[in-house]
Amino acid sequence: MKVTLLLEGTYPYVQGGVSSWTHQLIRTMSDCEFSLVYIGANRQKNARYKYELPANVTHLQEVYLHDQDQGQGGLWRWRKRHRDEMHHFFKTGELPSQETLSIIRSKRHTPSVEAILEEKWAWEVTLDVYRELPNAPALVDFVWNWRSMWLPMLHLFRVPLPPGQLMHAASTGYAGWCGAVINRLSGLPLIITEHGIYTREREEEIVRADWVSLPLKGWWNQFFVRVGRAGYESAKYVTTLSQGNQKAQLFYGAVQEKMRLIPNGVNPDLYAQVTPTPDRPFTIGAILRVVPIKDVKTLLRAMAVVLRQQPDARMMLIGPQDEDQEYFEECLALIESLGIAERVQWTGSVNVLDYLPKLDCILLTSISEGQPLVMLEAMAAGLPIVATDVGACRELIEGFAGDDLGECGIVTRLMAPDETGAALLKLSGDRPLREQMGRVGRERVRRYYTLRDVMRSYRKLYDEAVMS
Amino acid sequence: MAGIGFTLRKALGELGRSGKWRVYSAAAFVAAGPWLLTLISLFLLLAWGNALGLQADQRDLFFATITYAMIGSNLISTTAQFFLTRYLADALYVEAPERLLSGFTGIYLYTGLAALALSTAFQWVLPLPIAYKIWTVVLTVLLTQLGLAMILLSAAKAYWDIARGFLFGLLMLGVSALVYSIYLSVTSAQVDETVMLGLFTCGQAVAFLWLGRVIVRDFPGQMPVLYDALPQYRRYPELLGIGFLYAMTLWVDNGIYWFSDQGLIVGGSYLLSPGYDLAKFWTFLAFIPAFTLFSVNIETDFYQVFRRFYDAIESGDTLAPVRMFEEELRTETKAALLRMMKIQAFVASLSWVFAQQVKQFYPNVIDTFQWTIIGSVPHMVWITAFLLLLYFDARKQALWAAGIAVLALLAGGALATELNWSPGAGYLLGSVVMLLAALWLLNKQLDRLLFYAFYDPNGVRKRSLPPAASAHPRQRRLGHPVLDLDEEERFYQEQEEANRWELEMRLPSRREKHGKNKRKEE
Repeated sequence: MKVTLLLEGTYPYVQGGVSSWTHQLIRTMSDCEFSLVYIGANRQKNARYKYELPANVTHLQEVYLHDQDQGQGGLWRWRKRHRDEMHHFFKTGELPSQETLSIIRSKRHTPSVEAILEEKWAWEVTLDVYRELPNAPALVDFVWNWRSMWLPMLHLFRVPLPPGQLMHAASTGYAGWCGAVINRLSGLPLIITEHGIYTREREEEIVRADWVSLPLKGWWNQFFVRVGRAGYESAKYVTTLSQGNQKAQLFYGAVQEKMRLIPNGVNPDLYAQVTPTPDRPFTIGAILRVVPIKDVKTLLRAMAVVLRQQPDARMMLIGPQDEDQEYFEECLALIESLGIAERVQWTGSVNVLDYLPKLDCILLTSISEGQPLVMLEAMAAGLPIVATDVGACRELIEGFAGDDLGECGIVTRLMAPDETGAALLKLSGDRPLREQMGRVGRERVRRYYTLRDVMRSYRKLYDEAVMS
Repeated sequence: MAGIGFTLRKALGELGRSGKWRVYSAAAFVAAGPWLLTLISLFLLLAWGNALGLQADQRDLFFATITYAMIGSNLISTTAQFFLTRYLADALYVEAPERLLSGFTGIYLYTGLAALALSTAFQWVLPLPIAYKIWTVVLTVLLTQLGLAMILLSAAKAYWDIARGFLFGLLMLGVSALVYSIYLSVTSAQVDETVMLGLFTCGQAVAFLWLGRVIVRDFPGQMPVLYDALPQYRRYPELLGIGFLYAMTLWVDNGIYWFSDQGLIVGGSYLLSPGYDLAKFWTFLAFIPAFTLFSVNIETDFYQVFRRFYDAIESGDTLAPVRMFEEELRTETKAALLRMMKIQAFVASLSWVFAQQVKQFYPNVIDTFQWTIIGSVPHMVWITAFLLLLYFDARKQALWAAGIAVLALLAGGALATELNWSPGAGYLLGSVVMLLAALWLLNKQLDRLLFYAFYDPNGVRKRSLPPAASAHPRQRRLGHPVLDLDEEERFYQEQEEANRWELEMRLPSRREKHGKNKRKEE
């Protein structure tokens, strides 16, 4: 089977949970051929693959949303119905018809997607939408935001049609949108797998973003809801990792009948031999990318709380630090100001398996998550977990309805360093509790989260999507 | 770029009603003074030559030479004018006056070389004495460079320095003419057209040196950089075309009659059509009041409304006030055109009536003039519309307007020749056609003013800083200030560098430390 994976800002350029899942999916489904569509914001000169592409990856198409078209001149021979459809599109975010999409994709009719925004009718829509906003923002802010909103979407109208029988998007958002466009054009079936809830993550990002002025925040949120919905509507199946996420997907417009629950999985045999090394201080591990969504600052503050009562405790921060240099520097400054530099070790990108025996528990303070692979790996390695109540974290730690194995860690509130610190202290002072939780974790993985079962589910879903 | 207008309007405000005429005269002098002074010096020289026994053929050759040198230099310097003005305006907009000279020197060199090469090539084939041809080439180059120096000094608001330079040139011409008269009376020699051309050229050279001195004074210690012209060309290539076509609109119709039955060859070298040339010359004189109004009125009232609209957008106003300022700008643009039409129509009517009174003296020339002076009304409104298009940065539309204007004037002239109309009727027809085209283009621009505040009216989609606002890599290596570092940061950087202690470094002397040397220099 030939499958096209639609990936937004992840594999193969960025390390992380979704990228690991993608890599695992490709490697495990060795009977499938994969072509990848990587959707990035800007082309970066020194970007390097973070993964070695498996042999069954046959194509890689890179699409950069902020790339500029070279075409000059205005639209040519656009009919009224094309303009009306685009007018409707700008107002509602609903995909135009196949015919209009073809006109947009034709360089003869549409030399550049920017030419669409330059049309008189498009400018009128811009001002109409502005007038409909409940609080009028600065006109200049609105117009630049309008361009930033629609140019990437229009750009994706022109993405080359991929080969294969099926598309699988690793998120909604731009990847899901791209899938919806291709589906409208070629009828290729689309499966969407949401790890985190994209729309909610954007909402959280927009609330914090200082580049979006206050009157425009609601408008941007609405936009991402529409984009997400376009993906849900075009997809044949929408999968997610946990029941909690399914509820969120329903809230954002997914239809129950299309939904499937396929969790993440790991190979328990790989972690079976991991046992904590003896004679060392209590060591907390955090396997993460240093980015704001992982809330590394809460994690460091929680460590400071631990060190007040257990001064010999240590923390290992495992994972890449280069994704958001500014945030990384802020974290370094926080470490300095908390005076915990001696007890915190940055390992960078390493083989996690080598470090798991050196840890006593895993800490995760993310603001948003899907079903973190690192938690499954930690559970498979028999390590207890302290994690925030996001995504499927509670489900993994406490088990879903019908799973009576018990708890394999402690769930904490978001951005609560004291509570997180207390949970860590509880684990540090109670080795039997850690061992008990480790056993529960291992058993839970073995029963419900093995890679073999997960991949079998995806393979079945692929067949269903292509056959039906 | 609002230039002289603000300075003069400030004076208007300060002087009140009584000083108004003085200010308008000053504006007229600044707007057309250098040109008028050059013409006055030319006519004085001719009168003086006649008094000393200058032959008619010598006089005609001298007059034709000056006409060609002026048209040639005007074509070259006007071609570069908008190209250079845009650079200067960008540099001033980003508050980087140190860039003025760097843009200027490159364009200065290229236009100088162009004038030298073209006039040498042209003179090469003429059957004239070598000395005479050399003086002609020198004069063409000098006039070209004078035109550009005036643009730079206008940007630096050194209006009175320009006027003084030309007055001084005229004075020196008078002195040298006097010396030459004494020489002629002592030696009883015949007056020579080559010497006359040399004297006139020297007068212009003096004005040029004067302006050069002002440039050195106003831009002290700033490194002239030659290679800013190339990035400017890559960014705004059409500005050269606009300049060339605009210059052509001033002379192209003359060319038609030079090659028609009305044309004659002077000194076996220069084609002229004396009747039409003279009528057009008088018509150009009638532009002075309107240009004065443009300087004082359009460049202030219009510019303020223009800025208010763009400032409202930039400062983050909402749609309602922006729309209001947009409408205000639209109304003001139309009012500006109407004002220019009224003043030119008034001047044209007066000139027409006056011409009617003296028709019996020069019936042919006056007949043509009575047509061309009516044509001056649409022509002046066209110039205003054309300049307003450039204000709105609608370069493509301005290029079209100028291109259509050249074609319209050519077609008008050709039609008039073909149908045996008065030559001035062709000019009038061409002016009307070119005005209609320019108004249509301007109206299209006005229709979408708000839209064009966000989208380039020339269809350029790649956004980048203009060359005058971004330092060239080679300039950066030479230590040219980088504009994205703000002033304060630069200041602290310099302070830090100045305070850095290095091995074997002497402590600054007390005198240096307390800035005594600096004060002495000042």
